[in-house]
Amino acid sequence: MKRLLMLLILILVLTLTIVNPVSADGPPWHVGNQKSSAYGVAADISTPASAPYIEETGTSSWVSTPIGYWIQTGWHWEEGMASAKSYYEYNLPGNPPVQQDVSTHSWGATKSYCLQFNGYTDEWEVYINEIKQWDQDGLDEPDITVQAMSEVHTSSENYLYTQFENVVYMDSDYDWFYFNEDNFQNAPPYYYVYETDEANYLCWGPYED
Amino acid sequence: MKRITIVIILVVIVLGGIGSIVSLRQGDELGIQAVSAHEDDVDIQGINGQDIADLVTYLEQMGVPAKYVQIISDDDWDPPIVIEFILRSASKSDEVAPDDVIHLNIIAHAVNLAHNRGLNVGGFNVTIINTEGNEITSVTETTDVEITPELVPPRKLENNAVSNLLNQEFPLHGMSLDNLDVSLDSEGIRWVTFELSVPNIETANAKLSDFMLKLFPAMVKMNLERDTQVAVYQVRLNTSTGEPLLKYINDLQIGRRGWWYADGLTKEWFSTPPAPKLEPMPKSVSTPKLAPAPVPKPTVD
Repeated sequence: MKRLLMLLILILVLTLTIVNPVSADGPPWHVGNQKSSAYGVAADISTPASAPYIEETGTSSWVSTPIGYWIQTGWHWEEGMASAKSYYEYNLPGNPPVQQDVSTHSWGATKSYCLQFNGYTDEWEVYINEIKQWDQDGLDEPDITVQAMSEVHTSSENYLYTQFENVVYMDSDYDWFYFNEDNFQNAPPYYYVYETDEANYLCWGPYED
Repeated sequence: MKRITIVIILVVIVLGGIGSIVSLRQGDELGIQAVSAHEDDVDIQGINGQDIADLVTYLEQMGVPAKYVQIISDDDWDPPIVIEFILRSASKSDEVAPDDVIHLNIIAHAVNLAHNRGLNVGGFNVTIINTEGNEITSVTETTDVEITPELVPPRKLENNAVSNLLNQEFPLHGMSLDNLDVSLDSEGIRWVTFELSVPNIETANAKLSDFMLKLFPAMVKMNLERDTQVAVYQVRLNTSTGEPLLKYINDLQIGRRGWWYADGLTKEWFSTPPAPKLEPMPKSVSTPKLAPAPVPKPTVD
């Protein structure tokens, strides 16, 4: 009887581990998909229907290059803000980051966010709703991993509910393709929900078993 | 010989035309020599010379070490006009110096407010050069950003009243406040600088995150509830021996922040993207049954 009970506990633990694989524990928590060897990334990113609860600091949802001299664009919602803001962010060589809010991203709305390497000018560029916001030279060469993710800062009580649609990457011929690699990451208590393919998903949480 | 001379002249004219619509007078220092303050009747592609002169004077007053300014044509921006600056870094290498990010943000502040007042440029470009004159990087940014309107004059509180409020209400989380500067710039806009110190970087790493994470919402709240009208605030953190650990600027008026931090200083207070991780995880295939209903939090509006 004791053995049976232990076996049942073991099965329960294994099941929970498989259902809820733990990536790096936050904060910050990052959830979403990535694509290797890209020259750009773009996505239609939505805000939830109304302002999500923030216990502390905030959340953001974006397309980005990885840590290093990263480039990022998306929307963020932080304690103290009157509305979510579309922004872009970049680093100067040496490490100083700069973040510029551009406009309000209304609740329940979708905007397209794009960053790409321009092979003619050797510059990285950021576009929001297809309008150019920023470019910079002297940064990392392309052919790097790109990310389309949500991020939760400081508190796992912060709410997250972000739809990513039409997530695409640019290849070395400067053509765009839908994300086609399954490099999804969960960050419990925040999870992704796979919808039709690797290019359409929901990032949400917190969810505790 | 005559033909060669004519060809050379033509080439010079064509190249000059491609490079810029108008190249304002260059000097060793950014200053009113770029466009004379007396040339207020100059109109270049809708750009008023006095606007440029005011901008240049403002940057000079703010101690921004820029070399020259010019207006160029660039179809990527709307309107297709970009104002260019060269920022002289104290760096000897291919990486920027600690003050460069502050100077870049002051240029962004000045250009965006000038644009908001009617300066008809679609973008601004800053090329940062090191002490050898070599380019470190070149950034071009939009001028089409939202401006927070209520942080402009007329001022509602005097600087010393704001200083008293800041002193009373901002917990320093164990760091020492060496100086708190509250001042108005030449446009009457309020700037605040916290000069903090800690014995060493280990103390900074233990104390800084709590302070920085609370600073932005607290400053916004104070502006809204106490009429402090702080448009830009800076944090300078040094060790007690004067070694710089952090130079931070947050421009609430144009929604912009930037910072330089020393190697080894905690990054817990700001967000970064993760390192690449390309091992997939099992799919969550179903729509969450307990999808969180977005709950509005009472925010400071």
